[in-house]
Amino acid sequence: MKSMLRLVLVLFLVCGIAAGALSFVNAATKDRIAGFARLEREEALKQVFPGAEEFREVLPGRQWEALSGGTVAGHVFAASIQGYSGPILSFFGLDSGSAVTGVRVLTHSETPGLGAKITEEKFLKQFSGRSVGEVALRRDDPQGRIDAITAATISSRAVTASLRATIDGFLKGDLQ
Amino acid sequence: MKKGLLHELAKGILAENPILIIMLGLCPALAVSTSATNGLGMGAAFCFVVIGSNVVISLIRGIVPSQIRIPVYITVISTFVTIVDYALKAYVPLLSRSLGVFVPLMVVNCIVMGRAEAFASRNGVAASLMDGIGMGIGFTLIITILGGIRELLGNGTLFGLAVLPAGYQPFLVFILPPGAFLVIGFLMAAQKKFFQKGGAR
Repeated sequence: MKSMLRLVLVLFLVCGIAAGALSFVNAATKDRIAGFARLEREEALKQVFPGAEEFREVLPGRQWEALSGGTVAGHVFAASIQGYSGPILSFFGLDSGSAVTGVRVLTHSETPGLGAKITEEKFLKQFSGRSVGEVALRRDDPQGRIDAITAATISSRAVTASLRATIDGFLKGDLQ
Repeated sequence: MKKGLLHELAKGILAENPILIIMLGLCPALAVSTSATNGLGMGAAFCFVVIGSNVVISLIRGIVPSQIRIPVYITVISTFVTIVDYALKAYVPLLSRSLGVFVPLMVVNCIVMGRAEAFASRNGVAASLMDGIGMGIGFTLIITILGGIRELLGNGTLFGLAVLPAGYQPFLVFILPPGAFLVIGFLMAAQKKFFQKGGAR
């Protein structure tokens, strides 16, 4: 009985000290971690909609209004989809004429050297200025104007399809 | 005694290198070594964890009953891992993202656990500290070399800087998982040929 108590006591003590140390570390780093996430998001918003000065959140984490000189110049959306090896989250801007202003991939877990090329400017700049119908892979749709990345068709198609679906949803009035 | 401590430090680098000789912790070593920067970052995080947990476990080895030593070790190790994880997220977020799940996975890293069980729980604080430093350096060295070779051959860069001429056509396979196995096989062969006592086999 006595040795049993000792086991409980030692484990309890070790866990208590560990919890204390971790809560201290958490308090010391929490603000920096949250600050970085916010900064990154603001930067992404500016990059996909360079013409706007201010962004107002419409749907938390999913849709923003891009304001330029006090008037709404367009929207920024977050689009996510299952890629080749995990979810892909991207931000893109859509101006009032329903043309894409820019795309940026924030998080993904695609294969380095192949699918991971979806974050490169060479692929993403193809979307700029495209209207809804053109946001499709050339090989899938005669109207499409996006070239897939060599050896990474699934990843390219995933990004393109997630943008297309989000734009379609917005134009149909599913989003605000 | 002095010589003994130095031996504990040096053995982790070659004679008992955690990756090439003990062959533990291969999973993170193979998975994150897609670039030299990743290798170095993972190595630094690993150093902190193995040194910290070795010292603490050797300090408390007298009061921990052997029936519950494993849960106690895991608590100690996971505390250090969480500290490293938070620190990376707060100060080098980009590195933290490219290491991904492998930093939290260090909790179950066999080398850290193995050193705790095989060394720190049976030796004094100073020897355990040296053992931790040695193992940390040995791991960092190999994972950085591994990452460097894979990055150089598979992407034509080293630490993110282009070192090979622009006309170089990268061997993509070295960045992909099979490349890790190829390179580590050659590293093990080289280690056996050049450093093993008794010569080549």
